[in-house]
Amino acid sequence: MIKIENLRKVFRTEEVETVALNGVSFEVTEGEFIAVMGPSGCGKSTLLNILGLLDNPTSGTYCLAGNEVGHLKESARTQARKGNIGFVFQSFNLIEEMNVFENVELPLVYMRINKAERKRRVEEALYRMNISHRAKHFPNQLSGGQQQRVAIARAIVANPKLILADEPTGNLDSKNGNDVMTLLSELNTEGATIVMVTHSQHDASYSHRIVNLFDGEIVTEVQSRM
Amino acid sequence: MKTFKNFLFVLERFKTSSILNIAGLSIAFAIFIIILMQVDYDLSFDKCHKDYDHIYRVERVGDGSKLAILPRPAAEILFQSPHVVAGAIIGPFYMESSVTVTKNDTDEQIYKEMVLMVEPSFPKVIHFDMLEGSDAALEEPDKVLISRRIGQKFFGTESPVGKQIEVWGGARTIGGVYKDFPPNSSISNAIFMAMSPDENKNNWGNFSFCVFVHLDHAGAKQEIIEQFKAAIPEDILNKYWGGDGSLQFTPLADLHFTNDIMYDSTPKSSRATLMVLLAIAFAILAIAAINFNNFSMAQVPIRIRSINTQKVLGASTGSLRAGMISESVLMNLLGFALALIIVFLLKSTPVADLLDAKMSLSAHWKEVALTGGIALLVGLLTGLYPALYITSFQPALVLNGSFGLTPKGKNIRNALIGVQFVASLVLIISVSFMYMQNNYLKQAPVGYERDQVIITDLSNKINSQRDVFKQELKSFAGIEDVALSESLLGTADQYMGWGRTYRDKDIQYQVLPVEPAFLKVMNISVTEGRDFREDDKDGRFGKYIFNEKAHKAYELELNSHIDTSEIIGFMPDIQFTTFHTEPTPMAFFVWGTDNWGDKMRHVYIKVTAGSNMFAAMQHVKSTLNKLDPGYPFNVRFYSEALQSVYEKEQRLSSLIGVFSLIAILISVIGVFGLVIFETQYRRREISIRKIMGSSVSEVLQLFIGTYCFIVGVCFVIAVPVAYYFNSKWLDNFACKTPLHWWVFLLSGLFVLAIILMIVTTQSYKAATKNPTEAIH
Repeated sequence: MIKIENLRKVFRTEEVETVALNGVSFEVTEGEFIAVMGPSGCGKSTLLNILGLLDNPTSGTYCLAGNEVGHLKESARTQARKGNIGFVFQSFNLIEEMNVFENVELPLVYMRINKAERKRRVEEALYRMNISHRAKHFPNQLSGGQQQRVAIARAIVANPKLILADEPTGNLDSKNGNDVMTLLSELNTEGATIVMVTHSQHDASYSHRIVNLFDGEIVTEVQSRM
Repeated sequence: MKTFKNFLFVLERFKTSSILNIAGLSIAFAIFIIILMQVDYDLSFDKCHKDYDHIYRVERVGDGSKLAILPRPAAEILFQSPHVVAGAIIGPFYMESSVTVTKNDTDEQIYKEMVLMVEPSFPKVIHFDMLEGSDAALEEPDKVLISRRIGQKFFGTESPVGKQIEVWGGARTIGGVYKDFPPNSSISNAIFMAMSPDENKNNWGNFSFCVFVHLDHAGAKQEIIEQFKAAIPEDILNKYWGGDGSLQFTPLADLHFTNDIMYDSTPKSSRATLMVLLAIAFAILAIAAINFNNFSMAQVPIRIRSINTQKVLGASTGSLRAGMISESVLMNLLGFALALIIVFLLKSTPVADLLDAKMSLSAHWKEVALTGGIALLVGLLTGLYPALYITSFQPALVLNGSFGLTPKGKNIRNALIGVQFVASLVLIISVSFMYMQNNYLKQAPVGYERDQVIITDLSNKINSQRDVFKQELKSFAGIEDVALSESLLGTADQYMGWGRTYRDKDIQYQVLPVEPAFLKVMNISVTEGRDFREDDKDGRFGKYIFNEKAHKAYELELNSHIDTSEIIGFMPDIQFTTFHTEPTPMAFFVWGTDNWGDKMRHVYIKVTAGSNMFAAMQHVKSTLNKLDPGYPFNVRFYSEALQSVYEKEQRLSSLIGVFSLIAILISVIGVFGLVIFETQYRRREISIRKIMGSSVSEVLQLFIGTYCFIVGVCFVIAVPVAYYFNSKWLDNFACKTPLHWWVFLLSGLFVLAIILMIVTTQSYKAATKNPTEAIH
């Protein structure tokens, strides 16, 4: 599913050059659940952004579902992303001015799916996340756990093959955190490939494999207990 | 001190927006000051005169019209009233006359100056601030008063008192020098000469004098009118006066604004125009204040975290509010200070020429102080709402997560932008129509030749050798024909009015006496009857050619007579006055030998089509110089003379045009600033949308849609408003450009285009940013 080789990402400001990723290589097969761990500033989020086609690597190759996507232009990246990758963030990143239904609907709007079909799929995703009764509410009227369930609904509404999660439980209490992790595991068993960045050993234990990053390099890869 | 630090911080952090907003404010304040200067100039017209609120001009009312001039015996009756503290008559026709000044017994110089004939009591009504000599000099028949500026022009640094000048063929001694009246005075800086005590003393038929009185109190007017009605002899009332002998007293300070009085040649302005100027001043101020308010409100989402952090750390709400308000006041005062610099710098540019008033800050300190006060007020008001708003949240709520304007806050802001757009649209539409009207006046058909004609005035010397003069002119190949006339066609609203009896009916018409060749020179064709012939002036009585208006209204018949003068032809209704008035009954008249008033003062010289106008003009000038060397003739192209009539309007239109453009610029600046803020604030949303698969153009549509909607709504509101104001303004002209629908549409599209350009370029920057920068 994912194959990256010798990925480097260098950020340059006027004076400083920061190496965020320094020759990272690994593979994720279809249906796998990978956790990326490491201390703050080790390059986890940079890696996730590149995997999510939000950013290009400085050098190295990135092969997604058999296609080289590491150095696409922005518009091509947008096209490659649509319907193929779902995102879940630590701070949920819902749009404040839109209600729950509209937030979840957004990816489908950009895929130019017709209205009736959108309605069907959004309702299905909300039902799946057990949040249907909140469809007309706005994000600031929901608890953190509920907001994250909406965000997950938004991530899966387009049936993507790959789900990228950036510390999905970081802003949640342990109960809500467990709920979210259980949901992600279920999605994985149903066939979704998941790459998750986390600080939490507990969350990582839901994955098949843990990649440890330190200063932009992979230090260990271990099979998780599952 | 802390406020000042905050202030500098805001300037630094929101550099572009701060600069744009302060620039907008300072330009708005500068325009406000400048407009106040002009308004003050007009509103204080004639208030320079001592006791101006007790001084009145007396006018005759009757037969549906008012006259600014009275016969001399009428004034004598008025002056007998015990309520008249002082009274004097003054010759009404403000004409420049040539004045000969002889220096060192040989060096003769001719100047053109205004000469006014007054009664010796005139200085008792209008106070003269005498610098040298005495205003009592007017008691002596050959003494005159001159202003300081005239004295300096004639004699340089020497004292003028006692020196001699030659006016109207007679030697006069300068008896005194008065301090010049300011430019906003109906009494001009002239050479004042005493009128003979016997001139027209008992002539009720000669309406030739303006009458000024100084009353002891305003309430006395009615009593004086009643006394006058009782005193005026019955037969005179019927024969000369008309009506019931009624009078009107116009306060000196109102003279500048009256325009319904005939034979009133004092400079005019209209209160409506001043209101338009003031409205623009306030519109610009409002636009700038709205910009500033939106600017402060736009900072709220960005500043609220720091404000709340301060709250959490123990700052009181009151001190935070005070800080924000003083910051806003400081910004406004900075704008005001820059405005003063702008006005100071503009003083020496052509913009200053657009004003009648002197663009001097020190001379208008009251207006400057008022504007300063307004700047303070705008600062307080625009600081108040954001300060209350930003401190009204629970700090805990705001420290977590992001924060945006509430829907209500957004609606207020959009409504404020709407006000700016409406104002800009109305201004653009109005400026377009003003421009079109000015062009229309230049091109509208007048019914006679105006492009191939050169005009000049005549001196007495040349008038006495007219035929030689004409021969000399015609000897030049490019000059086709020459004709003399008493007045300049198309440059006044009113010409000489004659009332006569025609077949037992009283008829009124305006008369322009001309030489027989005049109609040929001016390409005016006769529709019925015949044109004037050279031998018409050899007959005993004069000949008329009337316009169609008179023909129809008075049922005039060809070859019939009015008194002894024959009607020999009719012509179309040419635009013989300015475009302010519609053609009324009028006639060209050629004097016969029985002639009581031939004062041909203007020469019309027709240049052959295709020949060089400038060469012809040069020939005219050299001919004049040969026949009367030293006389300052005013040789002009006729088309320029026609244009100069509308000079005040054109200057005003330019002024309004310039200010409107600035108003539009300021509101564009406002939108620019807002879009910058909005894109900055919505960066996160844009990023999320992009992550969810939105393309750049879909992000752009999001922004463009909102502004298209606002402009659309504003257009619908602005069109009827602009229509109303413009049709009102165009009512000032008898001849006016139609209110084309496409001007409205184009103005709307113009504003839309500008807004879209700004929104697109600014939001494009945000839309193409890497989405990972804004979210975490």
